[in-house]
Amino acid sequence: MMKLINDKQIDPDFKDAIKEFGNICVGRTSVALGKMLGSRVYIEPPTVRAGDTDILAEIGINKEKIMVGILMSMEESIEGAMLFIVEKQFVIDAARIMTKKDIKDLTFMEDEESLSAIKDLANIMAASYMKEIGDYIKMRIFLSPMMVGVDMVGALVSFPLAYLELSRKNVISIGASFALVDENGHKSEDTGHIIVFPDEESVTKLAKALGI
Amino acid sequence: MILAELMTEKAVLNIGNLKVARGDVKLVIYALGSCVCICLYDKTTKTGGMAHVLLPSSKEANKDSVAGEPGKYADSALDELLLRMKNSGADVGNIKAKVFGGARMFAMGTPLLDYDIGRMNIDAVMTGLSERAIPIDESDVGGTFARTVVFDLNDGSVTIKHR
Repeated sequence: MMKLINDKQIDPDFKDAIKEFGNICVGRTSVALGKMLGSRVYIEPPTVRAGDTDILAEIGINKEKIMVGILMSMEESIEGAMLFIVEKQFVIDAARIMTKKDIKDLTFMEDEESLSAIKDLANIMAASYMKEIGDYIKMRIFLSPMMVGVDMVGALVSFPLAYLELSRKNVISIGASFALVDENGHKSEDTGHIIVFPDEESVTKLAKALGI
Repeated sequence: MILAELMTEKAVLNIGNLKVARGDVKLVIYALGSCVCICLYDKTTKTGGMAHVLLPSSKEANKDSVAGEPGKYADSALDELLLRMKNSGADVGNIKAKVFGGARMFAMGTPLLDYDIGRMNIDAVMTGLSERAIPIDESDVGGTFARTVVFDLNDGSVTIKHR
């Protein structure tokens, strides 16, 4: 049997399966985000890529781009880490809607109320995703409390690799494009990604649960 | 852009990469976070080496992984850098080190770990340099921000950029 993820190539059936449940997860997340923000949230079909520590080159994101990273570890049935990388402006706009404050830049992270808003936003995104994934593969997945960082995205992505000491072969990116429209019609787009770092055993488990 | 800049070769090091070169070469690491960048330089021969270290020690790692990617671990990276520099004609007695990175990324929220991997990487590199009697002539380590490091082998200088 071909390795499910091998030298940046992902088994086509495995890729289709991830894409399918990625689609469902993104749909669920957009509904949850829309409810929380009281705004319209649009989505585009997700893209799925596999890679190594250079996953950002695969996705086409400049390593030095400043983005917001939300990191959690996954426990129970699937083990590893999950990292949301989100456009900075999207997070600022979402926090502005939630806090009704005029947030202009990264300084918002020093404000407790705004940081709390970011955590709520991340919780909604992560919980929606994990709920869908768990339901889809009929497994329980627990997420740890999150860590938040705003910095060069290359540095954000490298941290889970050191933390988990994972094989580089198991990096899966699910591209998730959201667009947020506030009450004034202002549109804020996110071309963020969910980067999953499952351990070797979890990749096999996930594939099995997806019928591969 | 001046001609000299255009003629300078640039090599980008990803995680676990290690490279030794000489003269008109710039070695670059983009967006260094909790990883540590080791730069070694012998100014008499203009020979320099750089490693992009992910983890502090190779002791518990798979031997094949260490052999395939010695730059990934602080101890094996130092040994391999010194060996390659020596083989490239550098005088080991003239080598000086510069160390960068080891940041604490994701400073907000609830830490997943009760230890700081960036700090462990810094300590491992500093100890390794001391054990090998290599003097450190520049360092910019720790903090909570990422760095891009550009190491110019023409003169051994390093330029750091962060957000």
